[in-house]
Amino acid sequence: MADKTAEEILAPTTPPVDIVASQLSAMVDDELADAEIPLALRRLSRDDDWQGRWERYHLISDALQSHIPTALDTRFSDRIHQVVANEPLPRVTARPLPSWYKPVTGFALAASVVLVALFGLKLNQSDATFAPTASLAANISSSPTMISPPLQTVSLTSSASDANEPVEARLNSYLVNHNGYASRNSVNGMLPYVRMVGYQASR
Amino acid sequence: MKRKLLTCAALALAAGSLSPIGWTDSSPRALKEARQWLERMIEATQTLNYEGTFIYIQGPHVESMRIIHGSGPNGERQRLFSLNGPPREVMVANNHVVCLLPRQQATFPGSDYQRSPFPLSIPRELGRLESHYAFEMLGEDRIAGLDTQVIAIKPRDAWRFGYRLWLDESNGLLLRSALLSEQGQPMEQLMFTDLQVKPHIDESAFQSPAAPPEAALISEEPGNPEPSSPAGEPVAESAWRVGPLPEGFAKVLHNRFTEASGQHPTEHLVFADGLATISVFLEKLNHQPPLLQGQSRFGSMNAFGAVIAGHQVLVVGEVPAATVQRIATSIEYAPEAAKP
Repeated sequence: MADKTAEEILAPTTPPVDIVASQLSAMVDDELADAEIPLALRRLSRDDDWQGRWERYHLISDALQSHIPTALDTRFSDRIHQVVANEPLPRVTARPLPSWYKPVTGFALAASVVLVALFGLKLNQSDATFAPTASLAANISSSPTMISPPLQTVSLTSSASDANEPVEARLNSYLVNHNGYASRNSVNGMLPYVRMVGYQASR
Repeated sequence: MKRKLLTCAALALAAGSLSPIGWTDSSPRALKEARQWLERMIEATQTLNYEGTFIYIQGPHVESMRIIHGSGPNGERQRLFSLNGPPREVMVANNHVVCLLPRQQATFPGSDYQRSPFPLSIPRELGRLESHYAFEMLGEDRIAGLDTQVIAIKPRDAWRFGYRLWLDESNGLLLRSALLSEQGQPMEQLMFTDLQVKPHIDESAFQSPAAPPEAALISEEPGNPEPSSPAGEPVAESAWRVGPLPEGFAKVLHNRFTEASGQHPTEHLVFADGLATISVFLEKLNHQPPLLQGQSRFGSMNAFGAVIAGHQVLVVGEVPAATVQRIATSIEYAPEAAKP
C-alpha cells in the first residue's frame, strides 16, 4: 500500500540500461543530440559503471579505427580519482552557519557570507523587561530579553542600541512575528507556533 | 517506552512508510466532504480540551513537542513546548502570545489586534481556498492509535505549497500534517504519537515553570496593556508599492513601527491566501549592513532579501522560493506617491 505523504511519482526515475548504453555509444561516436549531452554527462560523472563503459567504448572505437596504443593503461581513471581524493580540502575559516539556516540557489553564496558576519555578532541584550525566574535563567542559554510588541509589531525593547546591534535578534524577531501572524491567518493555526519553537531547535 | 515510540514514529515518518488505506476521491461530493472535514478540524482545534505529544520533522531536524489546549469561559489557552534541546515554549491566551525562546522572550499581546479577513470557520471563506487549491479525500489511516481521514490539498498554481492532513475521525482534530514541496515531497511533517481529549484541563497545566510570573499575568489578563512596548500603528499612506501578488493572496495587515533604539523604522505587511502567509518587512537601514540579500531559507519558510532605497526589504513565508522572490522584486519605493 502506497504512503500518501507525498505526491506519487509516475515517471520512471532511471532510464533502461540499453537506452543509456546507446546514448553513451552515440556520444563516443559524436552522434548524440546536443540536448541529450548534458544529461549523459551528468550520469557519466556519477556512475562508475558508466565510466567503465565509456573507457571500453572508446577502446572499441579506437580498435575499429586502428588507433590502439602499444600499451593500455586501464587504471588511468582510477589514478585520477585517487589524486582528486587526496587533494586537501580548502580550510573552513568562517564560523559555521546555524544549521537551520539553509542557503539555496542564486544569491546563496553572497547571502551566506553576509549571514556569517551577522550571526557572528555577540548579542548584547541584557536588560530584560521581565526578570527571568531562576528556572528560566538556568535553562536558557543567555540572558533573555523581552520583545514586547503588540501583534502588529516587531520591536526590541532591549537597551542594546550600540555598535553591537542585535542583528540576529532583529532577523529572528521578524520570523517569530511572521509566524505569530501566520497562526491567525491559516486553516492550520497550530503549525506556525510549532515552527516558532522548531526553527530555534539547533541554535 | 514513550521514547521508543517516538523514535519508531520518527523513523517511520522519515522513511515515509505509514500507509493509509488507499483510495482517492476528487469528485464534487468528495470536495464537499473535504470542506466539512476542514470546518470540523478548525472548530475542534479551537474548542476542544486536549493534551498530546507529537514529533515535528523539518529537513534533517526531528523534534518532539507537547501541546496542551483548553477552551472555556476565559477563552482559548494553549501551551506548546519542546521536549528536547534547549527549552522553547509558546503560550497563547486568546490574542496574547508569549514566546520563550533560547535567547529572548517575545510577547504578542493582541489587545488591538485586528481580526484577519479570513475567519476560516466560515464555509464561504473555505470556498475561497478552493479557487487556489484542489481538495481530495485520500482514504483512511491510523495515527497515534486513532482512525483518521486523509485529505490532500493541492495547489492549483506554482505560487504555493501543498498539504496533507490526517484528521481524527471521531472529532476532526489534526493528528498529522505534511507540507509538500513543488515536487510533491514532504518538507515539513508533524505527527502526534499520543493525544487525549479531556473534559477539563487543570489550570496548572498552562503554567510554564520556565515563564516569569509577569508573563503569566499578561496571558491571564488579556485587557492588560503592555506598558513599555512601542506600539505599531496602521499605515494609511506608504511610500512603498507592492506589485501584483499571486492570485488569492490578500493584504491582511499593514503596520509601521520603530524598535526601541529608534534606528530602524519598519513597515510590516502581511498577505494570506487562507493557508499560506507571507510577511513583507521594510526596514530603514541607516547605512548599516543589510540583514539578508538574495534567496534564503529558514526552516520551511523561504525568504528573499533586497536593499531598495536604503531599506532592507525582507519577504518571508511558507511558500515556494519563486513566490517570495516575485514579491520582493516587485516592490518599489515611491515617496512622492505617498504625499497627499
